[in-house]
Amino acid sequence: VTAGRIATVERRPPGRENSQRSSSAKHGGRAHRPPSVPWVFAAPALTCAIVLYLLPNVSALYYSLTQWDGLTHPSFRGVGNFVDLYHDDGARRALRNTLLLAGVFALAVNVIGLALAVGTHRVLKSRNFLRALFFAPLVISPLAVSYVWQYMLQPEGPVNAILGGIGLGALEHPWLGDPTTALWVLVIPLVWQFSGFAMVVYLAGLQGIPEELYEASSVDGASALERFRSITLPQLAPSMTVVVALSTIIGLRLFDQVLALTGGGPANATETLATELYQQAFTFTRFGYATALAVVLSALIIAITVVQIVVLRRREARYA
Amino acid sequence: MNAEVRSLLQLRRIIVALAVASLAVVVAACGGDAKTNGDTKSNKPTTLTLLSFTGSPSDQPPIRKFYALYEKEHPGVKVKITFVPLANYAAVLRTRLLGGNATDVFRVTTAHDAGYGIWDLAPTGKLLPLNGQTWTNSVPPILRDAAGYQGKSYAWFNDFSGYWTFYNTELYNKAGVKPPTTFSEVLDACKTIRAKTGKIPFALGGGLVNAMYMINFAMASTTVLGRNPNWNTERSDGKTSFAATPGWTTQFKQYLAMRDAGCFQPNPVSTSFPEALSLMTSGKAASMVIVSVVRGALSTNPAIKLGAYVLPGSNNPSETRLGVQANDGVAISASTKHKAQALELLAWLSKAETSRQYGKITGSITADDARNARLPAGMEPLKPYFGSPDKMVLLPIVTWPAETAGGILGPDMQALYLGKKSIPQALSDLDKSYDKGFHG
Repeated sequence: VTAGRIATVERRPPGRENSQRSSSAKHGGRAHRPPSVPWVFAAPALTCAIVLYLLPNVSALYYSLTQWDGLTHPSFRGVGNFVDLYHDDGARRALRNTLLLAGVFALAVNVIGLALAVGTHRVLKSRNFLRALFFAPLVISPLAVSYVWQYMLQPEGPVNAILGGIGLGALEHPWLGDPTTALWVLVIPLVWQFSGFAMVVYLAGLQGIPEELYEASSVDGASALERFRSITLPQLAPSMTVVVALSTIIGLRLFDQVLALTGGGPANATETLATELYQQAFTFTRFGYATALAVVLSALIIAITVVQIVVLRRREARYA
Repeated sequence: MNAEVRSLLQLRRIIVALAVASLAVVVAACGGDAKTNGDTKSNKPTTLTLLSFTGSPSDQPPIRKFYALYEKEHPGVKVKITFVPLANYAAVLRTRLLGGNATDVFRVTTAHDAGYGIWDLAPTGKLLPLNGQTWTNSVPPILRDAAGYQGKSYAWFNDFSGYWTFYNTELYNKAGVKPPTTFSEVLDACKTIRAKTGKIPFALGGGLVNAMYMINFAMASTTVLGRNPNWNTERSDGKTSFAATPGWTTQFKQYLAMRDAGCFQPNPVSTSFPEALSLMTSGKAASMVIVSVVRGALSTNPAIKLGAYVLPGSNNPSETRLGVQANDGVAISASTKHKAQALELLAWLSKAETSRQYGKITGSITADDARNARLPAGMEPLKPYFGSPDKMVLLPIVTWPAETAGGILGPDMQALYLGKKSIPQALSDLDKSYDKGFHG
């Protein structure tokens, strides 16, 4: 079973698109153009977007070029903050941690979310209960989740107690207190919380795959793995685009969970760009420098997301 | 009248009613502002707003109780206190100052302190200068430079604090250990307390970088400033460096020696500050080096009798110095509409009787106590320091850029403790950060 063969199974009634096109052509393409929306309708939303989103971002660009303590008048220093940032070991470490966290988080959320979606898509009696169970962590405040996990991962906490209780005392570890493990352990609560979200998006995608595709491939003798690889994955391409893009954005701007779980420590081992910029602004009152960090973080998120979407859309087009 | 016309009339009535209600709200708001914010002579009590930081919920009731005394003595004034967790305090205070809605009075600390020290705020013009107020002379001389800015006073400081060791007297007695007076005795005490009581000699909340560096500053008061009292000025002028000062290397080695002697609980770098406090209050730890204003939080278990001593950084007791600062300063917003009442509050705070009440309620040592070398029970070992000003130094942290202490020293000490960094690397980091100063 190949994607090419699957494409031969029509999902849309043939001819409908063509008939619409020919009808439009007959009327010179004007008759079916949607009526233009008066600007006045869009003005409130547009004003909000400009005042609350665009202007702060443009002003952030200006502040990133200044030396500013957050209270007095900022003084212009050109690209000095960006030069400092380039030479700052702390910022480089935060960037590396951010990319690592975002990458591992996005990968794990997608894999686990997809597995949960495929698992709960089957005809199981308890599927609705399981879906609710897996989705539940998402509705809890990330801060509350982080504090609970922080308690569980303490040296004297339940995780180590369970390990000790089942005879795996040798594995007991100060999970969040060791710079070599803290960053990786940080991913666990994040994945636990957000996999349910990925599951829901993938479930929606799975429910849109026509059953005929699976029936046809079964008739052709395709195995379950082949059906997953050649039908499920290609058909889930649009869902994957959404989940990969959103989980990457969430991963790149991680802040509250890191602050609650480790505070960026120990020894700055879990500092991310978001926590670093918060610390620079509100602890060290280096608002100009912090804004430069924010600009870099925004640019990073935009660049990575655009690349991801372009690549994933191409993939979607290939399977369409 | 048909239904369409009726509904149109109904809609018109609703719009008119809403317009009248909105107008009433606007008028009431404008009128209310004039009465409540101005220094009017109305019978309505004046409300003075106070923004305060809080390290733990247990330190809020004593502060409320203390300011209730002021309300009792001044029936026309109410003090409305807003508490903000310490970690967010600078952000909240500075945002309110920038937004023009600062409280009438707010807490500040000496010199630089993560954005809410006198040296951080006075240059911005957001603090009311207090020159001409006679009570500003009551600020202890050692704090005067750090409590003012360019010769002007900006705050009253309720407390006189520092980083010293609080200990569980019963556990020390059980182990047969006396408060150490030399660094060698500190290491011996750790071993003896472990062996004879099975308790943790020193609780360390190293998960919080600010708690991690308390031992540094407590001991560097001796190893660095004890040998060169002008070290901070020389460092600021670029005449010396961390790497070129043997006292810093000595101090870092002492920290590691304490680690190797089993002075701390397992995994102190993953222990949060509240957890470390609870080790003390539950009797699981025998002592803790901590900023002295936290004494109240340590005294929540009445079964534990606390004593105090200066953590010695030398084997010669005469070289030991006590590092001091002040944490509970109260400054007035330059834009307050209750200037007279705010000044009256600060004048009240500076009175000797108020100071005594403050010490009694909060458990802190006050400026008045410091002047008269009058210390609470259990704090007697500190008396020689309070009685002799040359045995006290201003804690180095108060004059450093905030990033050097919180951003570099704390995390580097965590790394040093875990063996992830060397002493020369940590010293080099400190020099780089200090030289970067306050730019950006």
